Amino acid sequence: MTEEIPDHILMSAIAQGEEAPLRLLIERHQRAVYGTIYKMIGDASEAEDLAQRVFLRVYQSAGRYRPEAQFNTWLMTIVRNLVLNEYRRRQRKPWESLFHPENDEPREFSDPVQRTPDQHLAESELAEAIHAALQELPEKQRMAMVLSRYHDMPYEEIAKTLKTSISSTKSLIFRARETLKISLKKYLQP
Amino acid sequence: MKKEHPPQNGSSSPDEALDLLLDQVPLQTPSDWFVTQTIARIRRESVVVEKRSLRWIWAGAASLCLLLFWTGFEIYQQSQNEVLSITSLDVNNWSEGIEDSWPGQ
Repeated sequence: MTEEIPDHILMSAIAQGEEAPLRLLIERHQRAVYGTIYKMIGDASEAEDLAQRVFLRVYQSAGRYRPEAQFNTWLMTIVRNLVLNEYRRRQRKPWESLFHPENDEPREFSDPVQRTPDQHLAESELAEAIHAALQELPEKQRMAMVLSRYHDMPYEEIAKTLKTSISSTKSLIFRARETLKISLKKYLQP
Repeated sequence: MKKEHPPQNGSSSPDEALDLLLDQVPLQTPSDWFVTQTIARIRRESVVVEKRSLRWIWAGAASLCLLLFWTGFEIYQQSQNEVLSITSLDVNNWSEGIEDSWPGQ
């Protein structure tokens, strides 16, 4: 039932100061927002803080929101802007590493099933390898790749989010895939 | 959210294999209390923003009052100076200047 309420309707209700639609919107998009930020910066606690800031900005912009663009595209533009700000902040403070695998526990996955310790180990190694490979990509390629692969976003929407052309988006994704194929070669062997 | 893919055994191209590999590590979910924490933070920070805006409004109003007071004071002082300059004229010699400049003199 709640899935039927479009995001722009929720946004206009949020602009009126209602809390229930805000809760609904956060519940609906929390995984997309948090998951994307986590893939971009590779730090769970930072990702949670940034994701909260994304929703704070959504709340503050609710009155100005116009449903001309798709809500997801608009939301991912906010995500990207905040992630870029975070990169800049960390460039000013280089002692804060972008990737802290030692204090970074991977969160629950979408398909929690019973696994043996060996399977767990192999999976966490794979997760770490994928994570590291993604972190090695330039920011724009990484964002394009995450939006394309994990959000199933069409090229046009990715281009809008990244403020670039469709052909440039295609090129970004192609180059990201080529780099990932090399980085993850070990896991791609049959 | 994810794209549908054929089973791994049937994958042949490196692109398909890469997609399957990436799909094994999907988007992570935040902690269970994320929604509650986010709403609490939004409430908290919105109040801070409101207080900050209110502070700016008060500061603006105070500056305006100060400006009005200063302008009023300046006008008052100017008018007082004019009154003083009129009253300080030498009453006995008030016509000296006029007589000197009288036409025909």
